Amino acid sequence: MAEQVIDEAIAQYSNLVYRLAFSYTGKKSDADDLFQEVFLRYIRKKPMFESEEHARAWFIRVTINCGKRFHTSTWRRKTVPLDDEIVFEMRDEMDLYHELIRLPAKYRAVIHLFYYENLKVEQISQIVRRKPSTVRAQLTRARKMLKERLEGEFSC
Amino acid sequence: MLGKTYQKMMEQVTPSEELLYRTKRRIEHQKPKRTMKRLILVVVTICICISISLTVLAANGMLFNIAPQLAQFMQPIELSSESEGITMNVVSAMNDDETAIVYLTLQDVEADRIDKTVDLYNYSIRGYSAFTHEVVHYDEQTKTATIRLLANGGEKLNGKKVTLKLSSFLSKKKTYEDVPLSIDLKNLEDVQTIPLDLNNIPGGGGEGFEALLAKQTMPVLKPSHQSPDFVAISGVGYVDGLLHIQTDWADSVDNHGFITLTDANGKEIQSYANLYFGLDQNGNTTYGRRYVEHLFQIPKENLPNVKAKGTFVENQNYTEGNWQVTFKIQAVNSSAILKKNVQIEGQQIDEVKITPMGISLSSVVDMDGLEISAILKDGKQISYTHSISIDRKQKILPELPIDISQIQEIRIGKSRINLQ
Repeated sequence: MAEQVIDEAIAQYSNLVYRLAFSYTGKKSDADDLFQEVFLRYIRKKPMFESEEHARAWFIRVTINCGKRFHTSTWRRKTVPLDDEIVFEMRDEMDLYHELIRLPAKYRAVIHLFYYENLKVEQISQIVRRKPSTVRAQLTRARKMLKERLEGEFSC
Repeated sequence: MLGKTYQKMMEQVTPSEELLYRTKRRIEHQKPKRTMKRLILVVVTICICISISLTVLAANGMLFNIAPQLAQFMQPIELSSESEGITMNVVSAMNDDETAIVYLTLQDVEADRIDKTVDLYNYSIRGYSAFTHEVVHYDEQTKTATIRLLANGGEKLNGKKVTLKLSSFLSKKKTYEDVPLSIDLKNLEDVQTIPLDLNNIPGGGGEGFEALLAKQTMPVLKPSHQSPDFVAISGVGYVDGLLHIQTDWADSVDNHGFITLTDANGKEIQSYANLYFGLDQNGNTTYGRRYVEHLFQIPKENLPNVKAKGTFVENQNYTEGNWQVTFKIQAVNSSAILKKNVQIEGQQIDEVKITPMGISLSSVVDMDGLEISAILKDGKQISYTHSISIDRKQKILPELPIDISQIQEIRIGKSRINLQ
Protein backbone atom coordinates (compact mmCIF):
# COMPACT_ATOMS: atom_id res chain seq x y z
CA MET A 1 0.00 0.00 0.00
CA ALA A 2 1.51 3.33 -1.06
CA GLU A 3 2.71 5.66 1.65
CA GLN A 4 0.57 8.44 0.22
CA VAL A 5 -2.58 6.29 0.45
CA ILE A 6 -1.80 5.49 4.07
CA ASP A 7 -1.10 9.12 4.93
CA GLU A 8 -4.33 10.15 3.28
CA ALA A 9 -6.32 7.51 5.12
CA ILE A 10 -4.86 8.62 8.44
CA ALA A 11 -5.52 12.25 7.63
CA GLN A 12 -9.07 11.56 6.54
CA TYR A 13 -10.23 9.08 9.14
CA SER A 14 -8.07 9.83 12.18
CA ASN A 15 -10.70 11.95 13.93
CA LEU A 16 -13.50 9.50 13.11
CA VAL A 17 -11.51 6.57 14.52
CA TYR A 18 -10.06 8.41 17.48
CA ARG A 19 -13.34 9.91 18.66
CA LEU A 20 -15.11 6.57 18.41
CA ALA A 21 -12.19 4.86 20.16
CA PHE A 22 -12.29 7.46 22.92
CA SER A 23 -16.03 7.14 23.30
CA TYR A 24 -15.69 3.36 23.45
CA THR A 25 -12.80 3.19 25.92
CA GLY A 26 -13.34 6.43 27.83
CA LYS A 27 -9.59 6.83 28.28
CA LYS A 28 -7.00 8.62 26.20
CA SER A 29 -4.32 5.97 26.63
CA ASP A 30 -6.70 3.17 25.63
CA ALA A 31 -8.02 5.22 22.71
CA ASP A 32 -4.40 5.73 21.57
CA ASP A 33 -3.81 1.97 21.56
CA LEU A 34 -7.08 1.22 19.84
CA PHE A 35 -6.40 3.91 17.24
CA GLN A 36 -3.09 2.32 16.31
CA GLU A 37 -4.64 -1.14 16.16
CA VAL A 38 -7.29 0.05 13.68
CA PHE A 39 -4.76 1.57 11.30
CA LEU A 40 -2.47 -1.46 11.57
CA ARG A 41 -5.44 -3.58 10.61
CA TYR A 42 -6.07 -1.25 7.67
CA ILE A 43 -2.53 -1.93 6.45
CA ARG A 44 -2.85 -5.68 6.94
CA LYS A 45 -6.27 -6.04 5.30
CA LYS A 46 -5.72 -3.50 2.50
CA PRO A 47 -9.46 -2.99 1.99
CA MET A 48 -10.70 -1.55 -1.29
CA PHE A 49 -13.51 0.92 -0.79
CA GLU A 50 -16.31 1.44 -3.26
CA SER A 51 -17.30 4.79 -1.82
CA GLU A 52 -16.63 7.25 0.95
CA GLU A 53 -19.61 5.80 2.82
CA HIS A 54 -18.14 2.31 2.50
CA ALA A 55 -14.80 3.51 3.86
CA ARG A 56 -16.40 5.27 6.83
CA ALA A 57 -18.47 2.20 7.63
CA TRP A 58 -15.36 0.01 7.44
CA PHE A 59 -13.39 2.23 9.85
CA ILE A 60 -16.33 2.43 12.25
CA ARG A 61 -16.92 -1.33 12.25
CA VAL A 62 -13.23 -2.17 12.68
CA THR A 63 -12.87 0.34 15.52
CA ILE A 64 -15.79 -1.27 17.31
CA ASN A 65 -14.55 -4.80 16.64
CA CYS A 66 -11.07 -3.95 17.84
CA GLY A 67 -12.57 -2.20 20.85
CA LYS A 68 -14.47 -5.32 21.81
CA ARG A 69 -11.35 -7.40 21.69
CA PHE A 70 -9.07 -4.85 23.16
CA HIS A 71 -7.44 -4.87 26.51
CA THR A 72 -4.47 -2.67 27.03
CA SER A 73 -1.17 -4.32 27.59
CA THR A 74 0.44 -3.72 30.95
CA TRP A 75 3.74 -3.67 29.11
CA ARG A 76 2.66 -0.55 27.30
CA ARG A 77 1.14 0.95 30.42
CA LYS A 78 4.50 0.78 32.12
CA THR A 79 6.04 3.03 29.53
CA VAL A 80 3.17 5.35 28.66
CA PRO A 81 2.26 8.10 31.12
CA LEU A 82 -1.35 7.74 32.13
CA ASP A 83 -2.55 11.24 31.39
CA ASP A 84 -6.02 9.95 30.70
CA GLU A 85 -8.20 12.92 31.48
CA ILE A 86 -9.41 15.25 28.80
CA VAL A 87 -10.37 18.60 30.23
CA PHE A 88 -13.46 19.72 28.34
CA GLU A 89 -14.21 23.40 28.03
CA MET A 90 -17.66 23.50 29.59
CA ARG A 91 -18.92 22.08 32.83
CA ASP A 92 -21.89 20.34 31.21
CA GLU A 93 -19.43 18.62 28.87
CA MET A 94 -17.29 17.44 31.80
CA ASP A 95 -20.41 16.18 33.61
CA LEU A 96 -21.60 14.36 30.53
CA TYR A 97 -18.17 12.79 30.00
CA HIS A 98 -18.01 11.54 33.58
CA GLU A 99 -21.44 9.99 33.30
CA LEU A 100 -20.76 8.50 29.88
CA ILE A 101 -17.71 6.60 31.10
CA ARG A 102 -19.94 4.93 33.70
CA LEU A 103 -22.11 3.47 30.94
CA PRO A 104 -21.26 0.07 29.41
CA ALA A 105 -18.97 0.47 26.39
CA LYS A 106 -21.53 -0.95 23.98
CA TYR A 107 -23.97 1.80 25.00
CA ARG A 108 -21.32 4.46 24.56
CA ALA A 109 -20.60 3.26 21.04
CA VAL A 110 -24.27 3.42 20.09
CA ILE A 111 -24.62 6.89 21.61
CA HIS A 112 -21.58 8.05 19.66
CA LEU A 113 -22.76 6.68 16.34
CA PHE A 114 -26.22 8.15 16.82
CA TYR A 115 -25.36 11.57 18.22
CA TYR A 116 -21.98 12.25 16.68
CA GLU A 117 -21.88 10.33 13.42
CA ASN A 118 -25.59 11.03 12.89
CA LEU A 119 -26.28 7.47 11.81
CA LYS A 120 -29.78 6.05 11.82
CA VAL A 121 -30.68 3.09 14.00
CA GLU A 122 -30.78 0.79 10.96
CA GLN A 123 -27.31 1.90 9.86
CA ILE A 124 -25.94 1.41 13.37
CA SER A 125 -27.49 -2.03 13.56
CA GLN A 126 -25.73 -3.06 10.35
CA ILE A 127 -22.39 -1.76 11.56
CA VAL A 128 -22.50 -3.21 15.06
CA ARG A 129 -24.31 -6.32 13.81
CA ARG A 130 -27.09 -6.14 16.32
CA LYS A 131 -30.80 -6.12 15.62
CA PRO A 132 -32.35 -2.66 15.12
CA SER A 133 -34.60 -3.38 18.10
CA THR A 134 -31.51 -4.08 20.24
CA VAL A 135 -29.83 -0.86 19.14
CA ARG A 136 -33.04 1.08 19.80
CA ALA A 137 -33.32 -0.48 23.27
CA GLN A 138 -29.68 0.30 24.03
CA LEU A 139 -30.13 3.91 22.98
CA THR A 140 -33.24 4.21 25.15
CA ARG A 141 -31.52 2.64 28.14
CA ALA A 142 -28.42 4.80 27.72
CA ARG A 143 -30.48 7.99 27.48
CA LYS A 144 -32.50 6.98 30.52
CA MET A 145 -29.40 6.26 32.56
CA LEU A 146 -27.83 9.57 31.55
CA LYS A 147 -31.02 11.46 32.26
CA GLU A 148 -31.32 9.98 35.73
CA ARG A 149 -27.70 10.58 36.60
CA LEU A 150 -27.60 14.10 35.22
CA GLU A 151 -30.88 14.89 36.96
CA GLY A 152 -32.72 16.12 33.92
CA GLU A 153 -29.93 18.34 32.67
CA PHE A 154 -30.59 17.11 29.16
CA SER A 155 -33.83 16.54 27.38
CA CYS A 156 -32.86 13.59 25.20
CA MET B 1 -29.69 18.99 23.96
CA LEU B 2 -27.77 15.81 24.70
CA GLY B 3 -26.80 15.58 21.04
CA LYS B 4 -25.49 19.16 20.91
CA THR B 5 -23.49 18.85 24.11
CA TYR B 6 -22.11 15.49 22.99
CA GLN B 7 -21.05 16.95 19.64
CA LYS B 8 -19.35 19.94 21.25
CA MET B 9 -17.61 17.63 23.69
CA MET B 10 -16.37 15.26 21.01
CA GLU B 11 -15.08 18.07 18.79
CA GLN B 12 -12.46 18.59 21.48
CA VAL B 13 -11.24 15.00 21.24
CA THR B 14 -8.49 14.63 18.64
CA PRO B 15 -5.52 12.33 18.24
CA SER B 16 -2.27 13.97 19.31
CA GLU B 17 0.56 14.65 16.92
CA GLU B 18 2.66 12.18 18.85
CA LEU B 19 0.04 9.46 18.37
CA LEU B 20 -0.17 10.13 14.63
CA TYR B 21 3.59 9.96 14.40
CA ARG B 22 3.78 6.74 16.42
CA THR B 23 1.05 5.18 14.30
CA LYS B 24 2.84 6.01 11.07
CA ARG B 25 6.04 4.59 12.43
CA ARG B 26 4.37 1.35 13.46
CA ILE B 27 2.79 1.12 10.04
CA GLU B 28 6.21 1.45 8.46
CA HIS B 29 7.28 -1.60 10.50
CA GLN B 30 4.39 -3.61 9.17
CA LYS B 31 4.84 -2.77 5.53
CA PRO B 32 6.62 -5.40 3.45
CA LYS B 33 10.19 -4.46 2.82
CA ARG B 34 11.69 -4.14 -0.62
CA THR B 35 13.01 -7.39 -2.05
CA MET B 36 16.61 -7.77 -1.06
CA LYS B 37 19.39 -9.69 -2.67
CA ARG B 38 19.21 -13.33 -1.83
CA LEU B 39 21.14 -13.84 1.31
CA ILE B 40 22.92 -16.94 2.33
CA LEU B 41 21.33 -17.89 5.59
CA VAL B 42 23.84 -18.73 8.21
CA VAL B 43 22.48 -20.72 11.06
CA VAL B 44 24.76 -20.38 13.96
CA THR B 45 24.50 -23.66 15.73
CA ILE B 46 26.84 -23.30 18.66
CA CYS B 47 28.11 -20.17 20.30
CA ILE B 48 31.77 -20.07 19.53
CA CYS B 49 32.92 -17.34 21.73
CA ILE B 50 33.40 -17.90 25.45
CA SER B 51 32.54 -14.33 26.30
CA ILE B 52 29.23 -14.69 24.44
CA SER B 53 28.46 -17.88 26.34
CA LEU B 54 29.13 -16.08 29.58
CA THR B 55 26.76 -13.34 28.53
CA VAL B 56 24.11 -15.90 27.73
CA LEU B 57 24.53 -17.60 31.09
CA ALA B 58 24.38 -14.24 32.82
CA ALA B 59 21.25 -13.34 30.89
CA ASN B 60 19.59 -16.62 31.79
CA GLY B 61 20.51 -16.13 35.43
CA MET B 62 19.20 -12.61 35.33
CA LEU B 63 15.90 -13.77 33.84
CA PHE B 64 15.41 -16.37 36.51
CA ASN B 65 16.20 -13.81 39.17
CA ILE B 66 13.48 -11.55 37.76
CA ALA B 67 10.95 -14.36 37.71
CA PRO B 68 12.05 -17.72 39.17
CA GLN B 69 8.99 -19.51 37.74
CA LEU B 70 10.29 -18.80 34.24
CA ALA B 71 12.86 -21.60 34.64
CA GLN B 72 10.30 -24.34 34.19
CA PHE B 73 8.91 -22.82 30.99
CA MET B 74 11.97 -21.45 29.24
CA GLN B 75 13.56 -23.33 26.43
CA PRO B 76 17.26 -22.42 26.33
CA ILE B 77 18.22 -21.38 22.82
CA GLU B 78 21.65 -19.77 23.17
CA LEU B 79 22.26 -18.99 19.54
CA SER B 80 23.89 -15.84 18.36
CA SER B 81 24.51 -13.74 15.31
CA GLU B 82 27.10 -11.00 14.92
CA SER B 83 27.08 -8.07 12.57
CA GLU B 84 28.67 -4.61 12.75
CA GLY B 85 30.42 -5.53 15.97
CA ILE B 86 27.17 -6.19 17.75
CA THR B 87 26.06 -9.59 18.91
CA MET B 88 22.45 -10.62 19.12
CA ASN B 89 21.86 -13.63 21.32
CA VAL B 90 18.57 -15.43 21.41
CA VAL B 91 18.77 -16.53 25.00
CA SER B 92 15.61 -18.49 25.50
CA ALA B 93 12.03 -18.73 24.41
CA MET B 94 8.71 -20.06 25.52
CA ASN B 95 5.79 -20.73 23.32
CA ASP B 96 2.61 -22.54 22.55
CA ASP B 97 0.97 -22.93 19.18
CA GLU B 98 0.18 -19.26 18.50
CA THR B 99 2.35 -17.19 20.79
CA ALA B 100 6.04 -16.94 21.53
CA ILE B 101 7.96 -14.92 24.06
CA VAL B 102 11.62 -14.64 23.17
CA TYR B 103 14.33 -13.21 25.39
CA LEU B 104 17.26 -11.86 23.45
CA THR B 105 20.30 -9.81 24.28
CA LEU B 106 22.13 -7.20 22.26
CA GLN B 107 25.74 -6.57 23.17
CA ASP B 108 28.09 -4.08 21.57
CA VAL B 109 31.59 -5.56 21.64
CA GLU B 110 33.21 -2.74 19.64
CA ALA B 111 31.61 0.55 20.60
CA ASP B 112 28.90 2.02 22.76
CA ARG B 113 25.76 1.77 20.65
CA ILE B 114 23.62 -0.28 23.04
CA ASP B 115 21.97 1.36 26.01
CA LYS B 116 18.76 0.99 27.97
CA THR B 117 16.77 3.01 25.41
CA VAL B 118 17.50 0.54 22.61
CA ASP B 119 14.46 0.18 20.37
CA LEU B 120 14.20 -2.54 17.71
CA TYR B 121 13.28 -0.75 14.49
CA ASN B 122 13.11 -3.25 11.66
CA TYR B 123 12.64 -6.82 12.86
CA SER B 124 10.48 -9.87 12.38
CA ILE B 125 10.00 -13.47 13.38
CA ARG B 126 9.00 -15.40 10.32
CA GLY B 127 5.62 -17.01 10.86
CA TYR B 128 4.28 -14.44 13.31
CA SER B 129 2.36 -11.31 12.50
CA ALA B 130 2.18 -9.09 15.58
CA PHE B 131 4.98 -7.98 17.83
CA THR B 132 5.76 -5.90 20.83
CA HIS B 133 8.96 -5.66 22.81
CA GLU B 134 10.52 -3.99 25.82
CA VAL B 135 13.94 -3.75 27.40
CA VAL B 136 13.78 -5.66 30.67
CA HIS B 137 17.37 -5.29 31.80
CA TYR B 138 20.51 -3.38 30.94
CA ASP B 139 23.95 -4.32 32.17
CA GLU B 140 26.19 -1.26 32.23
CA GLN B 141 29.39 -3.26 32.59
CA THR B 142 28.93 -5.57 29.63
CA LYS B 143 26.81 -3.02 27.66
CA THR B 144 24.19 -5.66 27.17
CA ALA B 145 20.48 -5.02 26.85
CA THR B 146 18.05 -7.86 27.47
CA ILE B 147 14.84 -7.56 25.52
CA ARG B 148 11.58 -9.44 25.89
CA LEU B 149 9.78 -9.86 22.61
CA LEU B 150 6.20 -11.04 22.37
CA ALA B 151 5.12 -12.45 19.03
CA ASN B 152 1.58 -13.46 18.18
CA GLY B 153 -0.34 -14.89 15.32
CA GLY B 154 1.74 -18.05 14.74
CA GLU B 155 -0.11 -21.06 13.43
CA LYS B 156 0.94 -24.44 14.83
CA LEU B 157 4.60 -23.42 14.98
CA ASN B 158 5.42 -25.52 18.01
CA GLY B 159 8.30 -27.85 17.12
CA LYS B 160 9.15 -25.93 13.95
CA LYS B 161 12.04 -23.68 13.01
CA VAL B 162 11.52 -19.95 13.04
CA THR B 163 13.89 -17.13 12.13
CA LEU B 164 14.29 -14.00 14.19
CA LYS B 165 15.67 -11.28 11.97
CA LEU B 166 16.83 -7.85 13.06
CA SER B 167 17.91 -5.31 10.44
CA SER B 168 18.14 -2.11 12.44
CA PHE B 169 17.65 -0.56 15.83
CA LEU B 170 17.65 2.84 17.45
CA SER B 171 19.42 3.76 20.64
CA LYS B 172 20.65 6.65 22.77
CA LYS B 173 17.13 8.02 22.77
CA LYS B 174 16.62 11.30 24.57
CA THR B 175 13.22 12.86 25.13
CA TYR B 176 12.94 16.55 25.85
CA GLU B 177 9.45 17.10 27.21
CA ASP B 178 7.49 20.33 27.31
CA VAL B 179 10.45 22.52 26.43
CA PRO B 180 9.36 26.18 26.49
CA LEU B 181 10.15 27.73 23.11
CA SER B 182 11.69 31.16 23.19
CA ILE B 183 9.36 32.58 20.58
CA ASP B 184 7.97 36.05 20.96
CA LEU B 185 4.39 35.62 19.78
CA LYS B 186 3.46 39.15 20.91
CA ASN B 187 5.55 40.91 18.30
CA LEU B 188 5.53 38.77 15.20
CA GLU B 189 7.24 40.42 12.30
CA ASP B 190 6.22 40.12 8.68
CA VAL B 191 7.66 36.98 7.23
CA GLN B 192 8.71 35.81 3.81
CA THR B 193 6.85 32.81 2.48
CA ILE B 194 7.43 30.34 -0.33
CA PRO B 195 4.79 28.20 -2.04
CA LEU B 196 4.47 24.53 -1.11
CA ASP B 197 3.03 22.10 -3.64
CA LEU B 198 0.76 19.96 -1.47
CA ASN B 199 0.76 17.21 -4.10
CA ASN B 200 4.48 16.75 -3.57
CA ILE B 201 4.90 16.22 0.15
CA PRO B 202 5.57 12.95 1.98
CA GLY B 203 2.79 13.56 4.46
CA GLY B 204 1.48 15.49 7.36
CA GLY B 205 -1.24 15.20 9.92
CA GLY B 206 -3.75 16.91 12.11
CA GLU B 207 -7.41 17.69 11.96
CA GLY B 208 -7.00 20.19 9.14
CA PHE B 209 -4.58 18.22 6.99
CA GLU B 210 -7.21 16.93 4.59
CA ALA B 211 -8.74 20.38 4.13
CA LEU B 212 -5.33 21.86 3.38
CA LEU B 213 -4.55 19.18 0.78
CA ALA B 214 -7.59 20.29 -1.17
CA LYS B 215 -5.92 23.69 -1.67
CA GLN B 216 -3.20 22.10 -3.86
CA THR B 217 -0.67 24.78 -2.83
CA MET B 218 -0.20 26.96 0.22
CA PRO B 219 2.42 29.32 1.56
CA VAL B 220 4.94 28.11 4.11
CA LEU B 221 7.59 30.13 5.85
CA LYS B 222 10.87 30.60 4.06
CA PRO B 223 13.23 28.69 6.37
CA SER B 224 15.92 30.74 8.01
CA HIS B 225 19.39 29.34 7.47
CA GLN B 226 19.95 26.61 10.02
CA SER B 227 22.33 23.73 10.51
CA PRO B 228 20.78 22.09 13.50
CA ASP B 229 22.52 19.32 15.40
CA PHE B 230 19.10 17.97 16.20
CA VAL B 231 16.21 20.39 15.76
CA ALA B 232 15.78 24.14 15.47
CA ILE B 233 12.94 26.59 15.02
CA SER B 234 13.50 27.86 11.50
CA GLY B 235 10.59 30.27 11.28
CA VAL B 236 7.57 31.76 13.04
CA GLY B 237 4.89 33.86 11.40
CA TYR B 238 1.19 34.54 10.98
CA VAL B 239 -0.01 33.82 7.45
CA ASP B 240 -3.59 33.75 6.13
CA GLY B 241 -5.20 33.30 9.53
CA LEU B 242 -2.85 30.58 10.71
CA LEU B 243 0.09 30.70 13.08
CA HIS B 244 3.04 28.93 11.46
CA ILE B 245 5.86 27.52 13.55
CA GLN B 246 8.47 25.74 11.50
CA THR B 247 10.97 23.17 12.73
CA ASP B 248 14.16 22.21 10.94
CA TRP B 249 15.37 18.66 11.61
CA ALA B 250 18.82 17.30 11.11
CA ASP B 251 18.93 14.26 8.88
CA SER B 252 17.89 11.28 10.99
CA VAL B 253 15.77 8.15 10.92
CA ASP B 254 13.42 8.79 13.74
CA ASN B 255 13.97 12.14 15.40
CA HIS B 256 10.62 13.74 15.82
CA GLY B 257 8.58 16.09 17.93
CA PHE B 258 5.48 18.16 18.21
CA ILE B 259 4.58 21.65 19.32
CA THR B 260 1.63 22.76 21.39
CA LEU B 261 0.40 26.13 22.55
CA THR B 262 -0.84 26.88 26.04
CA ASP B 263 -3.37 29.63 26.67
CA ALA B 264 -3.60 31.87 29.73
CA ASN B 265 -5.78 29.29 31.52
CA GLY B 266 -3.25 26.54 30.97
CA LYS B 267 -5.37 24.85 28.31
CA GLU B 268 -3.40 23.19 25.56
CA ILE B 269 -4.06 24.02 21.92
CA GLN B 270 -3.00 21.27 19.53
CA SER B 271 -1.85 22.09 16.04
CA TYR B 272 -4.50 22.23 13.32
CA ALA B 273 -2.22 20.52 10.84
CA ASN B 274 1.41 19.90 10.11
CA LEU B 275 3.18 19.46 6.82
CA TYR B 276 6.50 17.84 5.96
CA PHE B 277 8.61 19.19 3.16
CA GLY B 278 12.15 19.68 1.95
CA LEU B 279 14.08 22.47 0.30
CA ASP B 280 16.13 22.29 -2.89
CA GLN B 281 19.40 24.07 -3.61
CA ASN B 282 17.57 27.06 -5.06
CA GLY B 283 15.55 27.56 -1.89
CA ASN B 284 12.33 26.17 -3.35
CA THR B 285 10.20 23.66 -1.54
CA THR B 286 10.52 20.06 -2.60
CA TYR B 287 9.62 16.54 -1.47
CA GLY B 288 11.29 15.82 1.86
CA ARG B 289 10.99 15.57 5.60
CA ARG B 290 13.60 18.02 6.83
CA TYR B 291 11.11 20.78 7.64
CA VAL B 292 7.83 20.51 9.50
CA GLU B 293 5.37 23.40 9.31
CA HIS B 294 3.17 23.34 12.45
CA LEU B 295 -0.05 25.26 11.86
CA PHE B 296 -2.37 26.58 14.53
CA GLN B 297 -5.87 27.96 14.14
CA ILE B 298 -5.73 30.87 16.53
CA PRO B 299 -6.89 34.48 16.09
CA LYS B 300 -3.95 36.89 15.83
CA GLU B 301 -5.25 38.99 18.72
CA ASN B 302 -4.98 35.96 21.02
CA LEU B 303 -1.30 35.39 20.30
CA PRO B 304 0.01 37.60 23.14
CA ASN B 305 -1.75 35.28 25.60
CA VAL B 306 -0.30 31.98 24.45
CA LYS B 307 3.01 30.29 24.94
CA ALA B 308 4.58 27.63 22.77
CA LYS B 309 6.27 24.50 24.00
CA GLY B 310 7.68 21.45 22.29
CA THR B 311 8.37 17.81 23.01
CA PHE B 312 11.25 16.43 21.02
CA VAL B 313 12.66 12.93 20.75
CA GLU B 314 16.19 12.43 19.59
CA ASN B 315 17.61 9.07 18.61
CA GLN B 316 21.32 9.63 18.57
CA ASN B 317 22.08 6.24 17.07
CA TYR B 318 20.51 4.33 14.22
CA THR B 319 22.36 1.11 13.60
CA GLU B 320 21.81 -1.13 10.64
CA GLY B 321 23.09 -4.66 10.31
CA ASN B 322 22.02 -8.17 9.56
CA TRP B 323 21.36 -10.22 12.62
CA GLN B 324 19.37 -13.39 12.26
CA VAL B 325 19.03 -16.55 14.24
CA THR B 326 17.03 -19.59 13.25
CA PHE B 327 15.92 -21.79 16.08
CA LYS B 328 13.46 -24.51 16.75
CA ILE B 329 10.59 -23.23 18.75
CA GLN B 330 9.63 -25.93 21.18
CA ALA B 331 7.52 -25.52 24.25
CA VAL B 332 9.19 -26.87 27.39
CA ASN B 333 5.83 -27.30 29.01
CA SER B 334 3.29 -28.33 26.39
CA SER B 335 0.54 -29.13 28.85
CA ALA B 336 -2.87 -27.97 27.76
CA ILE B 337 -6.43 -28.33 28.95
CA LEU B 338 -9.15 -28.34 26.35
CA LYS B 339 -12.72 -27.47 27.20
CA LYS B 340 -15.53 -27.74 24.68
CA ASN B 341 -18.75 -25.73 24.52
CA VAL B 342 -17.97 -23.29 27.30
CA GLN B 343 -20.33 -20.46 28.23
CA ILE B 344 -18.50 -17.18 28.75
CA GLU B 345 -20.59 -14.15 29.62
CA GLY B 346 -23.62 -15.64 27.93
CA GLN B 347 -21.72 -16.53 24.76
CA GLN B 348 -21.05 -20.13 23.79
CA ILE B 349 -17.43 -20.79 22.85
CA ASP B 350 -16.83 -24.01 20.93
CA GLU B 351 -13.34 -24.53 22.25
CA VAL B 352 -11.28 -23.07 25.08
CA LYS B 353 -7.64 -24.14 25.35
CA ILE B 354 -5.66 -23.32 28.45
CA THR B 355 -1.87 -23.50 28.27
CA PRO B 356 0.82 -22.02 30.52
CA MET B 357 1.08 -19.10 28.07
CA GLY B 358 -2.58 -18.21 28.14
CA ILE B 359 -6.17 -18.97 27.25
CA SER B 360 -7.15 -19.42 23.60
CA LEU B 361 -10.78 -19.00 22.59
CA SER B 362 -12.12 -20.27 19.29
CA SER B 363 -14.16 -17.10 18.90
CA VAL B 364 -14.00 -13.56 20.16
CA VAL B 365 -15.75 -12.51 23.35
CA ASP B 366 -16.47 -8.93 24.36
CA MET B 367 -14.04 -8.71 27.29
CA ASP B 368 -14.66 -5.03 27.87
CA GLY B 369 -14.34 -4.36 31.57
CA LEU B 370 -14.15 -8.03 32.53
CA GLU B 371 -11.73 -9.23 35.17
CA ILE B 372 -9.89 -12.32 34.00
CA SER B 373 -7.87 -14.40 36.44
CA ALA B 374 -6.68 -17.85 37.36
CA ILE B 375 -7.38 -19.10 40.89
CA LEU B 376 -4.64 -21.48 41.97
CA LYS B 377 -5.08 -24.43 44.31
CA ASP B 378 -3.31 -22.50 47.07
CA GLY B 379 -5.87 -19.70 46.71
CA LYS B 380 -3.52 -17.31 44.92
CA GLN B 381 -5.09 -15.25 42.15
CA ILE B 382 -3.17 -14.36 38.98
CA SER B 383 -4.52 -11.82 36.52
CA TYR B 384 -4.46 -12.11 32.77
CA THR B 385 -3.28 -8.80 31.44
CA HIS B 386 -3.09 -8.98 27.64
CA SER B 387 -5.73 -9.85 25.11
CA ILE B 388 -5.01 -10.27 21.43
CA SER B 389 -7.38 -11.37 18.73
CA ILE B 390 -6.34 -12.50 15.31
CA ASP B 391 -8.54 -14.03 12.65
CA ARG B 392 -11.60 -14.35 14.88
CA LYS B 393 -9.69 -16.17 17.58
CA GLN B 394 -8.75 -14.66 20.88
CA LYS B 395 -5.79 -15.17 23.16
CA ILE B 396 -5.61 -13.93 26.72
CA LEU B 397 -2.19 -13.86 28.33
CA PRO B 398 -0.89 -13.46 31.87
CA GLU B 399 2.23 -11.40 32.54
CA LEU B 400 4.20 -14.61 33.17
CA PRO B 401 3.31 -18.21 32.30
CA ILE B 402 1.31 -20.26 34.79
CA ASP B 403 1.72 -23.94 35.70
CA ILE B 404 -1.74 -25.08 34.65
CA SER B 405 -1.64 -28.16 36.88
CA GLN B 406 -1.91 -25.68 39.76
CA ILE B 407 -4.96 -23.86 38.39
CA GLN B 408 -8.24 -24.63 40.10
CA GLU B 409 -10.47 -22.28 38.20
CA ILE B 410 -10.44 -19.64 35.48
CA ARG B 411 -12.64 -16.60 36.05
CA ILE B 412 -13.77 -14.45 33.16
CA GLY B 413 -16.16 -11.83 34.48
CA LYS B 414 -18.92 -13.81 36.16
CA SER B 415 -18.13 -16.99 34.23
CA ARG B 416 -16.20 -19.79 35.85
CA ILE B 417 -14.23 -22.57 34.13
CA ASN B 418 -13.45 -25.32 36.60
CA LEU B 419 -10.24 -27.15 35.74
CA GLN B 420 -10.47 -29.81 38.40
